[in-house]
Amino acid sequence: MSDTRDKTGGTPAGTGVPVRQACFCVGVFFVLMLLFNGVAMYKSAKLLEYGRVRDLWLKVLHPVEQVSRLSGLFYVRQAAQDTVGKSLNHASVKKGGKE
Amino acid sequence: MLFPTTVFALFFSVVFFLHWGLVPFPRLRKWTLLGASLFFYGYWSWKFALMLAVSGVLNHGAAVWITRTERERTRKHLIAWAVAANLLVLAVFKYTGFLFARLAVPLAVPLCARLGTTEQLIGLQEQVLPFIEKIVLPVGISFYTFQALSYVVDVYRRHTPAAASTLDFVNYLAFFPQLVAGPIVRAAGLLPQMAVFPGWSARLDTGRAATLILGGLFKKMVIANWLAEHLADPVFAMPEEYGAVDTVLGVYAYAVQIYCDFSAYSDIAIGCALLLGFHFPINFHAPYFAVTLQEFWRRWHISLSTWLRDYLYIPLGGSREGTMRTRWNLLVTFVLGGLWHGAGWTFVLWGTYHGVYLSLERMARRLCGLPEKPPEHTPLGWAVLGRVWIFQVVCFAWILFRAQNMAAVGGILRGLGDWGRASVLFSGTAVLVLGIGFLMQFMDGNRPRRVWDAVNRWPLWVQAGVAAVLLTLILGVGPEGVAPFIYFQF
Repeated sequence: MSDTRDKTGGTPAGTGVPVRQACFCVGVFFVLMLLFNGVAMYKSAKLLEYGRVRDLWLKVLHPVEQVSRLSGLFYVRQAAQDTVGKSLNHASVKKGGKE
Repeated sequence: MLFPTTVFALFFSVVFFLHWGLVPFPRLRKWTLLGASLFFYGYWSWKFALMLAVSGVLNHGAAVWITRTERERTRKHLIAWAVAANLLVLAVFKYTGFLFARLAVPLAVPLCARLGTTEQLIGLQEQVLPFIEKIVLPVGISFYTFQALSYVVDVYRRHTPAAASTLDFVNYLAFFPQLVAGPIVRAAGLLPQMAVFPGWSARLDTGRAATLILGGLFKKMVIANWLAEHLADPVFAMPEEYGAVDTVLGVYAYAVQIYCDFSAYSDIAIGCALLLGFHFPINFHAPYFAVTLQEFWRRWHISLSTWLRDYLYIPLGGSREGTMRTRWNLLVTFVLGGLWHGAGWTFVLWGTYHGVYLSLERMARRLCGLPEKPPEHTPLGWAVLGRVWIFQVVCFAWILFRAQNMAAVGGILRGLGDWGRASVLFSGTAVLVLGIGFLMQFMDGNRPRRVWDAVNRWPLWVQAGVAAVLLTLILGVGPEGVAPFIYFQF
C-alpha cells in the first residue's frame, strides 16, 4: 500500500498498440458512444438556451438521435438512468428538507 | 470546455484524428495542436487565449535572451524581470481584491481613524472596488504561470535548454489536456516531446488511457458530484443546521470529493495526452494512505509539491541551514502554497497549518530517534494507526480550505462539538459512496498495470465496445449536468 516507486507513469517499451490500430479503436469507440448516447445528447441539447448554438446542436445531433433510437442502443443509458441513476441522484435526505 | 461534456468529446475526436492524420506534415501538425489548445481555452474566453499565447511568446523570448547572454549580471537581471513579470500578472488577476480589501484596507482603517482621514479612505474604496470587481480570474492562470516560471528558471539554471522554437514552447505551455488544472508538467519532461511529435511507429497504451479516462469520469461524475451535492455542500453552506455526526460526514465527504475531483482531472488529462502520444508524470499516488504528513505531500498534487520544493523551499535554503531555518522555510513554502490556491485568509491558514504541522512532525521524529522519511514497509499496526491519524489531520485542514470564510470555519468547529443532534445526512448510500471514493486510490500510480496490459491484449473492437458501454453507464448513473472541477478556481 505504501509503494511509491515508479512515479513517472510512463509506458514501458513494447506495451500498447500501434497507432493505426489505436485510431481504429478510438473511431469505433466514438461511433458506439454516439449510438449509445445519441438520444440523451439530443435531449440535453434541447435544454440549452434558445439561440444559434442550440439550433446548431439540434441540427447536428438530430441524425445521431435518429440512428441511436433506431438501433435501440439508447436503452443502455436509459436503463442506467432509470435504475441506479434515479435512485442515486434523486434519493431524498431524511428530515431536513433537502432533496 | 469541461472534460465530461459532449462538446469536449467531439472536440477531442476531431483533434485525435487530425493529430494522427497529419503525421506526414510535422509543422502543420504542431500548428494544428496549438490551434486546438487555443480553441479549447478560447472556447471560454478568446481574450484570455490571446493572453496565454502572448505569455508563451514573452517567456520564450526571455529564455532565449538568457541563453544567449554571457554576462552573469545581465542573466540575473533578465531572470528577475521574467519572474517578476509572471508574478505580477498572477497578482493582478488573482490577488488584487485580496490585497486591497482584505489586507490594505483593514490595515489602513486604524491609521486613517487616527489621522482623521476615514472619509477619504471610504471614497477611495468606492472608487477602487467597482474596478476590482470587474477583474475576472482566467481559468488555469496559476498552473500555466507556474509552468512558465519553471521554464525560465530552469533555462537560467542551465538545467534545460531553451525550446527549439516559440511554437514548441507555446505548444508546451498551452497543451490543452493539462492547461487549466495541471498536472504542472516541467519543461524538461514535455518540451522534448513537443519538439519531436510521436510518429506512426509509436505504440499507444490504449488500455491505460481508457482506464484513466473512464476511472476519472467515474470519480468526477458519480462520486465527487454525489458527495458534493448530498454531503459536503449542505454542511459547508449551513453548518449551524447540522450536528457532529453530519459535520464529520460532511468533512470526510469533502476530503474524498476533492481527491476524486482533482485526481479525476489529472487522470483524464494524462489519459488524453497518452492517446495523443504524450507522457505526463502522475499527480496523485494514494494520498490518504500516507503514514506521515510529509508523505501525504509526496502523494498529493505531486507536480505542485515538487514545484514548490524545487523553486521555493530549496532556494530558500531547504533543510541545509539548521533546524530553525528549516522550520521557517517550511512555513514560508506552505503559506505561499496556500495563497497559490486562493486569495483568502482561510487559504493562508490552511498553508500555515500544514507548515506548522510538518515542522512539528520533523521535530517529533527527531526526538523519537526515527528517520526523517518513514521506512518503505512500516509494521501493519503502525501503518494503520498512522494512516487513520494523518487522514484526520488532513481532514481538519480541509475545513479551512473549503470554508468560505472564518465564520463558516467557526460554524463547522461548533458543529463538531454538537453531539446531541440527530443525523439527517447519514445513510447507507452515503457510506457506500464515501467508501468507493476512498478505495479509488487503489487505481493510482502503476497499481492497475496488470489491468492495462490485459486490456491492451483484448481485440480492439472489444476494447472500444467495453469502453463505450462503461462510459454510457457512468453518464447514466451520474447526475444531469456536471459541476466544474474544484481546481478550476485556482
